[in-house]
This record gives sequence, structure tokens and C-alpha cells, in this order.
Amino acid sequence: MAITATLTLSERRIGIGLSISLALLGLVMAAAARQGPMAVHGAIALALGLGLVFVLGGALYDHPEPGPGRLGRYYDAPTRFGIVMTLIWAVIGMSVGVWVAALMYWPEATPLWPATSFGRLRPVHTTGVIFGFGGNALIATSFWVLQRTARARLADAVSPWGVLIGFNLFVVWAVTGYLMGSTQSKEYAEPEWYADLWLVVVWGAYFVLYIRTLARRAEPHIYVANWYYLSFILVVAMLHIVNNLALPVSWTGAESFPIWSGVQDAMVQWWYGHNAVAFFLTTGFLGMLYYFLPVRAQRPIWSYRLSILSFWGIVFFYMWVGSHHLHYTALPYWVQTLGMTFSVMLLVPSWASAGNAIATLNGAWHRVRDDATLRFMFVAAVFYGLSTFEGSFLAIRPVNSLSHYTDWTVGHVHSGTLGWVAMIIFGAIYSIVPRLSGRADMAWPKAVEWHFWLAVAGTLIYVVSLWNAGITQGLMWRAYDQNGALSYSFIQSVEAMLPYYAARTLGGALFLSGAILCALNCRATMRRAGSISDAADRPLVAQPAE
Amino acid sequence: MTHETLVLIAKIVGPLWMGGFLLIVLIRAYNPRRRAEQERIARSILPEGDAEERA
Repeated sequence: MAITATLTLSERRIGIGLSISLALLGLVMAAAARQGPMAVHGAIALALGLGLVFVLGGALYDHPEPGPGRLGRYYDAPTRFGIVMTLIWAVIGMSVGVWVAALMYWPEATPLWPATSFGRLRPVHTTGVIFGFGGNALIATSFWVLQRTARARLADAVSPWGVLIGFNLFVVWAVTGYLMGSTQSKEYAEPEWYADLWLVVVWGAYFVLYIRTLARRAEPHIYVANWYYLSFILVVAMLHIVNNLALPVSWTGAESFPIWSGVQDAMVQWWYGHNAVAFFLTTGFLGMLYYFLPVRAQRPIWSYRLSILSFWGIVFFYMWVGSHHLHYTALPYWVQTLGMTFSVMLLVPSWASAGNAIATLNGAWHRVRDDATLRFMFVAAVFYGLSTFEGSFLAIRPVNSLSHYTDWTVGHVHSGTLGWVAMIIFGAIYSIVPRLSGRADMAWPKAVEWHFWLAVAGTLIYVVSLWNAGITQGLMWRAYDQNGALSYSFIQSVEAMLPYYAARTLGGALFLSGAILCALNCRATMRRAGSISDAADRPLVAQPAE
Repeated sequence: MTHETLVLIAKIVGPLWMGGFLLIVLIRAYNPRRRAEQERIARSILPEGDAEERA
């Protein structure tokens, strides 16, 4: 069903008004900047705004307005769009990841074109997978979970589109900026100042939509998954604003300087950086886990009260752990120790969540065996437990002295992102897409099984090879001969990495092929859906007319 | 205020704040009177009649 058909005439007009505003904003940016990344980004916004005007305006009177009956159904068209964007970004982000992994042992393959250099492509990979793949999955599933746990339709039909389209414009600005060599040089916060301001607007709209829908809920309680999603929305806003406070060099250029300097800048950056792991890559996905795992296993969460306790534990402890990224630096020693201590304490609520999820499956192991979708969620919970243990361990100062700056860190991150985050996303996607398409199952059920094993094999190969790589590097860098000189030159430690880098590329390629299979499977399933765009499942409690 | 005084205040207030908050969450989450309500909430996301009894 066309998106326009899900909107009333007045909503279509509001949409056209917003699209015109976006086009004008783009025009002003492009005209003011004249050249460079800001001008290109202005042109992208202008093209998107004009494109949306044509899509909405061209079909303004084509489709009959949806009747008042729509208010008695969930609004799932934005979720469907969000899942499509999730899969597109998965393929883009993971493909670039596999390519840059290959460049690690095959650097001669870098084309003589600056946009394709490792330094520019690497953030395309990280932004593509974290924000493009992860962010779209979070937004899409949050709309789904929010409506079903609140038994209420999204508060309005325009702002979900504003959030999704606005967020994707941010990601497009980010990755195209990197290709042009534009970056704030803050890891995971690379986009320039105007993109950051844009995200604040989008995120504010997301927060307001979430709260307005919650306020309309027909259930007396707020199910715990919503707490996790809300903490994700709220804290990411806080982190994003504080870490990106910057003074632009001029209003017509992309360059800016952070207001923080020196060690404060490092501290704020890693307060942001690790809380991006916490509140972007953990709490929202725990929201996903707490909803989709019980629903798929058809069993209530093992201990609801434990989920509350671990929520507050995670929220409170995570906030303090960022300084473990700055062991053995100019940061005051006590701040490093504080980060280390909270990192170790964090293991308790993290394992409480992982254990709660796994204990929920007790009595449903036959479903885990037979249902690859539920198995994705089970593996996600296992890897969540594994990577949070590893994270606490790596934060301990003497362990960090071996692991820091090595590929062990990269292995740890991928154990979390591939094994935990991506697995729970795929579990959620395989739960939602058939329902969105009015089917009992995916179009190709066997492909889900294939995807599962490709993903598990890819993750294991990747993580195990980088564990070996990192520990080898750490040991080679600290090996001394009898005279007290280093036993190995740096280049020898690089050469020793080649087999591991080859293996990690293979692991990444397996994971990517699973994701491509997932995208094709979702496409086939959605195509067979016909005109259904709203899932008919748990009944919504009717809302009073607006 | 001297640096030492500030550190002393931080060392006293910090653990009290964290410990106090933990206590409040513990009491609220583990209050036996909330058990039935929590059980209902945990089951509220499952399709009616679909949920299995816990083993």
C-alpha cells in the first residue's frame, strides 16, 4: 500500500508543507555554502524535499482517505519503511565493513581516489551499521512495541515519517560527508555541526511522539520494554547534545571546533562513546529482547521484577564507565579507577538481563530447536552475556594494558554488535515482517535457517580470529629481549596479523551474506503481502476521535 | 571550599545516593504486594490464551 494512502488529506498537506520546508532549508544551505560538503548536503536535502513534494503532491487526490476505522488499528506503515531502511543500511554498512577488513591485509587494493581511502570508508562502515542498521531497527521496532504494549495507535501519522526520513537524512549526510573528507574527528560522533543540530530536531520529535503515544495507552502499566526504549531516546539526546557542543568556523561551512579541549574533550568524548554503546547499542535492544523473546517463546519473562532491577542498575552504572577508555592517559587516575570500578559492577545488572532472557526459555527449548527466529534471540542473549563479561574484564586496568589499542577491542565490539545487537534485530525482523505481510511465516522459511547458521559461523570466526589477533599483538608489543629492547618491530606485529585478518574478512563476509539473504527474504515476503500494511494481531483499544 | 572537602563530600554523598536509590528500587520491585500485578504485566504482552504456564 502506498504511504500516501495511509494519510488523510490534511496529513498529506502537512507532509507537503514539511517537505517544502526541507527543500527550502536545503536550498539555503547549498546557496550559503556554495561549495564543499555543506553545499552537497544542502543539495541532498533539497532533492529529498522536492522528491517528497512530488510523491505526496502527485498522489494528493489519487487515493481515497482512510476512514475513521484507521484509529482502531495500529499504524504499522512507518515500521515497514523502517525495516526496509534497516536492511538497506545493513547491506551497505556490512559490505563496506567487509571491504575495509579486506584492505587490512590487502592495502594495495585501495583505489587512487581519496573517497575510497581506509580512513574515510571506516566511519562509513561504523555509521552505516550503528546508526543506519541499528538506529532504523530501533526506531522501527520501538513503534511496533510501543503500540502493542500500550494498546494504542501512534499519536499521529505525520511525525513517525518525519522521524524516520529525518533520521535517514542524517545518516546519509554523515556517510557522504566522510567520503568527502568531512569529519569532527570524534569517534561515533563524526558528523558536522549542522547534521548534529538536525538530529536534535529529529530526536526531539521522536521523544514527543513516544511520550504522546504512551500518554494514550489503554493499559494501566508501562511495560518494561518501553522503559528501555525511552532511556535510549532520552539519554542519546543528552549524550549527543553535550558531546557535539561546537563552535562552527563559519555559518556557511562544515568545519567547527568542539567547545571542550584537551583532557576534558577526551573525557566527554568517551563518556559519550561508551554511553553510545550503552544507550544506543544496549538499552534499546534490551527493549527489543524484553518484548520479542517472550512473545516468540510464548512465555512471560522469567522475572519481571528482575527486569526492573537490572534496568536501574544498567542505567545507573553505565553512565560512569566511559573513562575506562582512557586508562594510562593524562586523565586523573581516580577518574580512570572510577570508570573501571563501575565497569566491573555493571556485570551484575547485565548478567541479570541475560540470565532473565535465557531463563525465560526454560520450558520452551523445543521451540528454540525448531524455530530459527527464536534461536536468533537466544544466541543474542548468550552473546550479550558473553560480551558484557568481556567488557567488564577489559576495563580492568592491568587487562587493559594488554588489550588496549589491539584488535582484541575490535573483536569485543563485534562480539557485541554481531552476536548480540544484529542477532536480536534479525530475530525482531523475522517476527515482525510476516505479521506485517499478513502471513504466518516468512516467504522462504529455509532461508531463515541458512541465515542463522551463516550469522553464527560468521560471528564465531570473526570474534575468535580477533581474540587471537589482539592477544598476539599485545604480547608482541610488550616482549623485551635480554638487553631490554623490544623483541619485535611494529611491522612484525602487523605481519603476524595477516592470517587473522584474512579469517575476520571471511567471518564478516559470511555474516554479510546472511544479511543479504534476510533482505531478499523480507522483500519476497513483503511483495506477497498485497495491500496489507497494518498487522492484524493483538487488538488495539479504541481511541476517542481526535 | 578546599579540594579535600569536596572529595570528602563526594565520597559520602555518592555512595549514599547510589545505595539509597538501590534500596528504593529493591523495595519497590520486590515488594510482595506487587507480585500479582507484575505477573499480570509480564503476561500482558502475550496473546490471550496463548501463554503457557511456567514450568
